[in-house]
Amino acid sequence: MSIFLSEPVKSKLHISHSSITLTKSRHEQIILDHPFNNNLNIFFPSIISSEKINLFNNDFFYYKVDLPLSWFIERDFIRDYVKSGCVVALSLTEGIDVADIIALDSLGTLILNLTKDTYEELGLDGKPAKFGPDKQRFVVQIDLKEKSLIPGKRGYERIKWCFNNTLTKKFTFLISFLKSGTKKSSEIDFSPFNAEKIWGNFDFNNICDNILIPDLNMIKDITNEFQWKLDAVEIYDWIGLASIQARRIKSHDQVDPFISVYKPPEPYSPGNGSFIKCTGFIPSLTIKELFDSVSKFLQEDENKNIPWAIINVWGFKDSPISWNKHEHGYFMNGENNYSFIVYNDGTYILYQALGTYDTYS
Amino acid sequence: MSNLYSPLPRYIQNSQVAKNERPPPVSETTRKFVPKFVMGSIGSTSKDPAKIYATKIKDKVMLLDNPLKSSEEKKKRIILKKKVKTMSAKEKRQTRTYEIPKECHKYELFVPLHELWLQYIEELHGKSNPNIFGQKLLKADFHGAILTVSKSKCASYIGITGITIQETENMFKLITKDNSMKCIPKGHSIFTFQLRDHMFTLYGDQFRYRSAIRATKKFKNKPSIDL
Repeated sequence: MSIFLSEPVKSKLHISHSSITLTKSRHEQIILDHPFNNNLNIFFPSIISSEKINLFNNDFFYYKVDLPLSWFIERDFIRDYVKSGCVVALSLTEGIDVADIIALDSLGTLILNLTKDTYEELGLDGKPAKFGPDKQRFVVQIDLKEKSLIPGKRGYERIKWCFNNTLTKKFTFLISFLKSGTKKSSEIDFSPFNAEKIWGNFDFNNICDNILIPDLNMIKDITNEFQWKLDAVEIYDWIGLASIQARRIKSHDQVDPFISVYKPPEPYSPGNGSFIKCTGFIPSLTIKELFDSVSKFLQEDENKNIPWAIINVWGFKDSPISWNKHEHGYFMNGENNYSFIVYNDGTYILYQALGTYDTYS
Repeated sequence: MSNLYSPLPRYIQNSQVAKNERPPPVSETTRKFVPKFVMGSIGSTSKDPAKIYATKIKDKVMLLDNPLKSSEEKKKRIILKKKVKTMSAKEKRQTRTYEIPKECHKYELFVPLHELWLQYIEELHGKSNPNIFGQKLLKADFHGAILTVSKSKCASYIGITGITIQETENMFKLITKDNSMKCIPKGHSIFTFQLRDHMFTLYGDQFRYRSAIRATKKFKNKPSIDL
């Protein structure tokens, strides 16, 4: 209601159109700059044989571990992991609007998104958060790759003192580490803390039969920009329904129009689809490799009977940043998701959905 | 630890000035007459007049009459009183009366002050229960206490520990162990100090009075919600 909100709540959806063959294409950057990925699914508009689907098997694992913050600024950790690969960590707490969230992004910045109480006890300099009531949350950023962050320097000693004396609480973290050479998930030595190793599980056996699939070639090229926008948004609706395998897109769906009048965007045709699903703390490099193998698979397919594929990624709703250190919050929903429609000639359409509290645009 | 109430040191007791201290001169006739006269006049009312004489009258100076001062003397005294001059606040600032010179910013210099404060606060604490002691602490003197900033709006104040050397209306001035003086505003900060095995917390926002006023002020219960 407008009594409580100065302006209506707006979620954002950014749609862009490009091709991976272009040198300026941002797709790699978009995937790699989005560090905290919770959920991934890939949709093909046909049923793919089990040998071929194993092309997309890209194992990864991550850890769930209780750590004090002082662990992150130890020299060994910074030398062995932060500087020799890509460590990503996110604390699992109640929510970004009520509790403290600690995150380590892929560039080696430790981000502390703190409540006012914790910030006032911590003793490190930060900035008030962009969202929420004025000056009730604060963001402290520590660049672990900075050269001056070495024992003996004042800044380092201050951070160490604060983590040893004021914020000694342990947080439950999800941590993944990819070595820069192999680009595969690698082990982290957590001693003396007990870590639980979790494998990311891919689910290949998701087949939707008899669904209505719209012709995505109609938004492949932009002729009329205004019409294209409308079509693209409609398609995005359909992608959402497909990803939850809704019954509204089944070809035999006979729903009472009182409940739903949804029709897939025209022209559509009945067909079968298959899903690859994955949940967990997915490293962005893994997603990038999956993206590459999907586009390669589409281009190398002999019959060219798979014209396109959809890759959906859902970010953690309570992550303190969305893309590239842009601050993120949770108001009505903490959406920070993106979807790619990849065509077999390398063209792609990118959707980026963001909640109200996000500075990325 | 030095004791506040110990007897005077020997070198003072043996000094020339102390030896020259003599009872007031009394003439021979008075010395003979007074005891007999006093004991005789109170003999009928008390049982042991000799004891009363020894405790209340012997070696004491008493004025037996109360002479009126002449008006001239009165005038003189009034003029003398008026001549007592105090410094104005501006003069105090200009002469830097209350500033602590830089060469005195040394932790060791103030350790005796802290020891003195410990004696003082122990005595104040006595056997009182925490509630009453809290009331007493409101009016206590904190010069010499080791205070720590535990919570503050300004991040760089947090964690500073030192001996309080000066308290003003809005400031605590602390000397830290690395011999530097830190001025910390009372507002927007919470201080703690340790006494025996108890930790006490001072809410700076509610403490913003000069120590002299604080000693006589009546405090009311107020909730501390926010810094």
